[in-house]
Amino acid sequence: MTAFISAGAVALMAAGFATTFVAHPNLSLPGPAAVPVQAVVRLEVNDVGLWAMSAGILLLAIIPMLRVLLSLFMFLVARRLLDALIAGIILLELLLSTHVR
Amino acid sequence: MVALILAGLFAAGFVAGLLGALLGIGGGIFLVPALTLIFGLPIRVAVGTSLVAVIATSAGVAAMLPPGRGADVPLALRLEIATTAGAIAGGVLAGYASPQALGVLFAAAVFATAGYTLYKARRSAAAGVPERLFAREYTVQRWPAGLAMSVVAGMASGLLGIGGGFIKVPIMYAVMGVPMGIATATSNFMVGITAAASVFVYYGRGDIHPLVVIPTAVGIFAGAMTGVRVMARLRVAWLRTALVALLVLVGIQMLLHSLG
Repeated sequence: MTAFISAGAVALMAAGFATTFVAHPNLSLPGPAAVPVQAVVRLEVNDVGLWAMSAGILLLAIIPMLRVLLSLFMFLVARRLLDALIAGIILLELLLSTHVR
Repeated sequence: MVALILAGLFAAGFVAGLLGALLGIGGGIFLVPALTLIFGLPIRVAVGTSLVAVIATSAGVAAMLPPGRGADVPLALRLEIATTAGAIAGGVLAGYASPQALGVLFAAAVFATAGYTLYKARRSAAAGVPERLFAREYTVQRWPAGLAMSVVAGMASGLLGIGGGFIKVPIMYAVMGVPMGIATATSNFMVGITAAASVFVYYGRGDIHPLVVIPTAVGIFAGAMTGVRVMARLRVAWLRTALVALLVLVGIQMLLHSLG
C-alpha cells in the first residue's frame, strides 16, 4: 500500500514540477511556498503545477501516519490492546501536528 | 541558471544521502549545512526540506524492504509517543528561534554525530568477543530515561531536520539494554514517523518550497540507495575517519556562519 501511495506522490510531484517549468520558464529559486493544506484538499487550484507538487508532498508526508494506522489495525486484530492503544496515541499526535503552527 | 541550481540541489541531496549511508547515519546532517552554506537558503527552509527528504527515503526503503526488519516495533512505538511529542515541540520552537541559534544548535548536533560515529567505530574494533547484534531475548530497562531522551531526540529532529539516530541508538543500546543491531533497526523504523510529526508544522509555516524539496529529496533518496550498495564493497575504516573529519569541518563552518 505504501509503495502505491509513494508512487502516486512521486507522480504528482513530477507532473507538477514539469508543469511549473513549462508555465513559468523564468522562475527563480527557492520559488513559492507549498499551497496550504486546506487549499489542496478543497482543490483550490490557482497554479496547477504548484498544487500538484504540494499535493504530492502532502501525500508523501501522510505515509508514516498510514503505517501507524496499519500497525493499529494489526494490533487490534491480534488482540494486543496495549500496543493498539499506543499506536492510537501516536496517530492522534500526528493528526494534532497538522493543526499546530 | 535555474536548471543549474536544480541540478546542484539534486547533487547536494545525492551526496548527502551517499555520505549518510556510508556512515550509517541520516543524510540530514550533511544536507542542511549544504543548503544553507552553499545555496544560501534560510535554515528553516533547509530543515523543512530535510524533513521531507527523510520521509521520502524512509518511505522508499519501506517500499523496497520488509517493514521493520530487525526492529523491535512495540519498543519503537512506545518510544515514539515521546519522540513525536518532542518533534512537534521542536518544530514549533524552530519558528521562534533565531536562525543564528538554530545554526549553533545544528553545529552542536554535527559534533555530537561525529563523536557518536567514532564511538561506534571504536566499540566495534575493541570488542574481543563478537557481539550479538540481533539477540533474540533481551530485557528493556530504564524506561523513564529512555522516554526522556526520546523527547530530546524528537526535539532535535523537529528543530534541525535530522533523524536523531545519534541520540536514539546510544540510548536504546547503552541505557535501555537493547542489542546494537536491533537498536539501529528500531531507530531506522522510527525516523520517518518522527519526521512526519514536525513536517506539517513547517508546511503550515510556509517553510516547504516544492521547487527546492523535490530535486533534493530525489537526490538524497538516490544517494542513500547508492550508499547502501557501495558500502558493502568498501573497507569503511579509513572512509569513516575521512567522513568524520568532514563532519567536524561542516560543524565548524555552521558555527562560523551562525556567529557571523
